[in-house]
Amino acid sequence: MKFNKQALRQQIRQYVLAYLRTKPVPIRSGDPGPARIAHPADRRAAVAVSTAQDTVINNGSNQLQRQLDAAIIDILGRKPGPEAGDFTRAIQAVFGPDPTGRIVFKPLGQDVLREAQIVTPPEQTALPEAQAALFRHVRMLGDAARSTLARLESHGPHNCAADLAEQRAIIDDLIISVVSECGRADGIRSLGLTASLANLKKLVRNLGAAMHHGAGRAASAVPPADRTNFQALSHYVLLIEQSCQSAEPLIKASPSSDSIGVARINLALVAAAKAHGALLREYDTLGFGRVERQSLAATLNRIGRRKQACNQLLTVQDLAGWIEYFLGENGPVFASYGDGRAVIADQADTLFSILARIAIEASAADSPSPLYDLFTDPNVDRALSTLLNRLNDLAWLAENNGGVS
Amino acid sequence: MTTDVIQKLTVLDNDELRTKDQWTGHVTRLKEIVRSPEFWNSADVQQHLDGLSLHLKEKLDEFINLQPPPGTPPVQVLQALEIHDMLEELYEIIDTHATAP
Repeated sequence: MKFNKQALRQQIRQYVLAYLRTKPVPIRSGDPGPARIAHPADRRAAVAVSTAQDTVINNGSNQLQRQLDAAIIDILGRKPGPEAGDFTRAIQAVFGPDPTGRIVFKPLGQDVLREAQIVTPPEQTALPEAQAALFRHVRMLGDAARSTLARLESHGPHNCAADLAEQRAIIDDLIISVVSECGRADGIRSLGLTASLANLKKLVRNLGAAMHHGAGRAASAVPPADRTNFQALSHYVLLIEQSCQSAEPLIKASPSSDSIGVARINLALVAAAKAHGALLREYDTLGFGRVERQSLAATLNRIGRRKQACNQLLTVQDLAGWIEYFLGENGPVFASYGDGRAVIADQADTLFSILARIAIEASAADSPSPLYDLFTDPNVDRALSTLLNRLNDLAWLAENNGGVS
Repeated sequence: MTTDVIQKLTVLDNDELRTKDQWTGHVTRLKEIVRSPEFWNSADVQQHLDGLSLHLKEKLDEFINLQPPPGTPPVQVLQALEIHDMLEELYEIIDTHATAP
């Protein structure tokens, strides 16, 4: 396609991020004036000495609310929905019983990866009967192979001994890897097992060659004990391979690239949600709580003609709500199907574009925005840049099918 | 007809695109061209599209460097975003026509 909107969007996002990395330090306003949001330092002082008790309570409760939200997102990976029972379901999604009945924590990131069959769920230890039998058999052969391996000795010069020790260590790791693969609670992965077995066989052959080379003699000249041990090792490896081949029905295909892509997009959504949470915490730290963010003084303007939805009045809190809803509610739903990913890419790019304009405008010394002082606060600026980077990552992943296309 | 389209595009090739206003005028004229039936009914429509794509890429690259040098004024970056928005609109028009039955 000649007119590639995605390429155009990626080009402008890279351009903006490159600018933000090198932008000049903005000059802070000395006299905020009544129409401007107060200088953060003044704001902090104002909050501290305010005699208006309700303001203090408001800001305090906002801050506490934000801290609570951030803690909930950290634990649950997202904000629970507003419906009755949402919170309970969200809790149950990340805390569940292990095989012994003990309640254990299952972080969302792990959950997402597990869905994509990337990691083994630690709480599932009960293997299907056939796999358990295979696992016991391969583990027994693996133990025997490792103890045989440990008995092999080098009779060559020092450098050959070091070489042999290194090869033995790698082979030992590979045997452990094959045994572990057979014991995976979420099923044996074809790709993982085949690769480990192929490497194991190759390295055992190389080890034999190194032993002969180290001894500097023909095969018959290798000490009988070593020759016997090596033959036993080769035999054990062959038996392990045959056992795995006989258990082919237990071995599942590798996770599809599609499921890995979905998992990556979900992780990018979580990362962006965390970055957004950090930005909101910075607002709160400056006393720019939920109520202030919803006020007329917090109205954003000049945020793009293409973005039709933004031509109406939009406050900082409206934007925050939009981002939260997209990252926590819509995004995870849309991530799992192709057209939905296009929606995520579009939304992430739109939000990037809006936030970029805010960040760039704030960096202009003659900015007319009443929010100028807020967005030039170094901590807010840093949090905003992080969020922009996370949104760029998310948009790119969604545009490129999770980076696997 | 084909010659007309080529002529119009050739004229636009010589547009100087240093400011947002120049870009606005340029993109507006391009939109007129890609909305015209003669563009899409031409036997050489694919050639026109290829030429237009190359033209836009060259012009945009002139304006937007992937690494803006330190000291680039913020207003220039904001203008780049606005030009990007205009181009997206142009791309959407082309997409709509290209995928129309």
